[in-house]
Amino acid sequence: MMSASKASRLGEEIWKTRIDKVNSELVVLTYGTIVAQLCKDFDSDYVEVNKQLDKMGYNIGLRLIEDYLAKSNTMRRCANFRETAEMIAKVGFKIFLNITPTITNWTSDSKQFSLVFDENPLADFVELPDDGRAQDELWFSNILCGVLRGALEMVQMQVEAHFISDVLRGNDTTEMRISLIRYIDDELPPEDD
Amino acid sequence: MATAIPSIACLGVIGRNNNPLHVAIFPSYDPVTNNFAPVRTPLQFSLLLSSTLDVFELRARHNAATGVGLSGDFGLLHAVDERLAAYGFETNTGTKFVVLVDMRGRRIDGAIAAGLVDIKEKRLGAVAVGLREGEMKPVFKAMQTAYVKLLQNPFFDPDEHAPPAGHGGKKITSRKFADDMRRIGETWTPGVTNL
Amino acid sequence: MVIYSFYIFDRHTECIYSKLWLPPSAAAAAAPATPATANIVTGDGAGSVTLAPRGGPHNTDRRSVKVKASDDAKLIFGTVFSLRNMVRKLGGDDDAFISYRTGQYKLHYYETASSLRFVMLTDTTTLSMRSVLHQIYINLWVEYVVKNPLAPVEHKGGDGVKNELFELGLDQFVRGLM
Repeated sequence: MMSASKASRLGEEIWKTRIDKVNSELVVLTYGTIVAQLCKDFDSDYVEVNKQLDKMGYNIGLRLIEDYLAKSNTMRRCANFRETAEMIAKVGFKIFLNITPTITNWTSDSKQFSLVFDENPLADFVELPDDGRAQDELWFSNILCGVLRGALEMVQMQVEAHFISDVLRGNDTTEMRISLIRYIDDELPPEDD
Repeated sequence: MATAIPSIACLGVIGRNNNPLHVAIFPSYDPVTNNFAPVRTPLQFSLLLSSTLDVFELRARHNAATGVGLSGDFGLLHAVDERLAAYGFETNTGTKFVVLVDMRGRRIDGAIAAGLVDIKEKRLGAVAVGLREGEMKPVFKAMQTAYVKLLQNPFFDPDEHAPPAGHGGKKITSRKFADDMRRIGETWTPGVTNL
Repeated sequence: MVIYSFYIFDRHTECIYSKLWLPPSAAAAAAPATPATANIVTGDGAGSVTLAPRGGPHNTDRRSVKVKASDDAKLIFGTVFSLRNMVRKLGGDDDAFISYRTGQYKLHYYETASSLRFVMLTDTTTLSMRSVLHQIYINLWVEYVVKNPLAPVEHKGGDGVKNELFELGLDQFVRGLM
């Protein structure tokens, strides 16, 4: 099993050598505009906006995993969900967003953990609309949940991911909860008639 | 013995339609009551800010004609009276920042003043005759940074605050921006280079 | 080194791409066990169906050629899938099925964590092609298929795989090896 420090080194190495960099303002503004536009289009129905962001993220995740696998050169599956968590935080988030969220709050069955984001490049400068509802209903960075869900599904893990706190809402931390629902079995070829 | 030094009495942000976007007022020290209180009412400050608009326009026209002043810093716009003076800055997008300085807005202890004199004697010496050239630069820079940060918020709609083809526009409601303005106005003293 | 053919199977066990390099008759002659297939991904243009009839009355028309090709792909998938499962049962979950050899040809296998399976058939003297398949995955598949925003995520019936960049890149890469 890959140790936490080894994962850190791997993430650092890939970030330095194999990643094309892009202006962060471009990303931040693009993502911010998408969320703001969704809020407009759905008439500030934030529950729906969360759903749409998750869906968009899911579609990104389905593709992003291939890039992750190609860049990280992993020829081997994670041995368990704890190792998966390490790789998500220290390699995945590192190479795509240059952040390393903290893994914490494991349940004793090792099927649920939290990612705590000390920094969140997507939410730089963001202030949620002051309409009295956004603060309680909108998860601004919800796209990340979808990305994880999509990416992990491709490597045969069905997970559920959602934010439970966000500094944008005035919480002390930004925390995402990820639960492993099940490992997906290999699909079998259809029976020949 | 106490010495009076300049402080910021008011910060104004004005949109490209000459509409008020944000006004922050700061109390000055009043030696009579030994209290802190704004030197003018909000309405008076608002009028003072409005009165700078003509100066902005004149200067802009003059600068364009002579090809100077590309930095957007308009310097001293006008001295209102022996206490208040207005300084201005205009961005390329037509947003204007105005600083109203109260030349005797703070009082510092004689001892501290003496110490300050030791460190930067000339600066305090200049207080009596007004502020040095460029003393407002860090203020404008900080205000512009705060304004840029505000614009980076995806939920902030610039058009709402200065309709492209119209008049007026909404005021800025961001708490972060208001906090930034408050911080800038409260922390600035002559000689500060970074806000 | 001679490369006969190349297949990609997705996680739904469907063959989403296949390609043949040797002249079909030669391939058939050189390796009777080799599924000498037409390019089943297109299957629409006459040009892509280049398989010469291999004798016998049953496969002279194009339709039966296509059926034969997809049968071959199914056969190959069944083989590698069983072998891979067997390898894992015997050698543990971390063990990987890499290749097998017959008297006529050698089959190379590479599977990604996202359950994409790459299969290549070569002559018997070829050394391991695992890294070649890996290169095809990271340099061609990910770059030209996954990162093409207009290509679908699921490539049902080979949808989105057969784009010019991928095909050209693959052909050049493989011909460069031979």
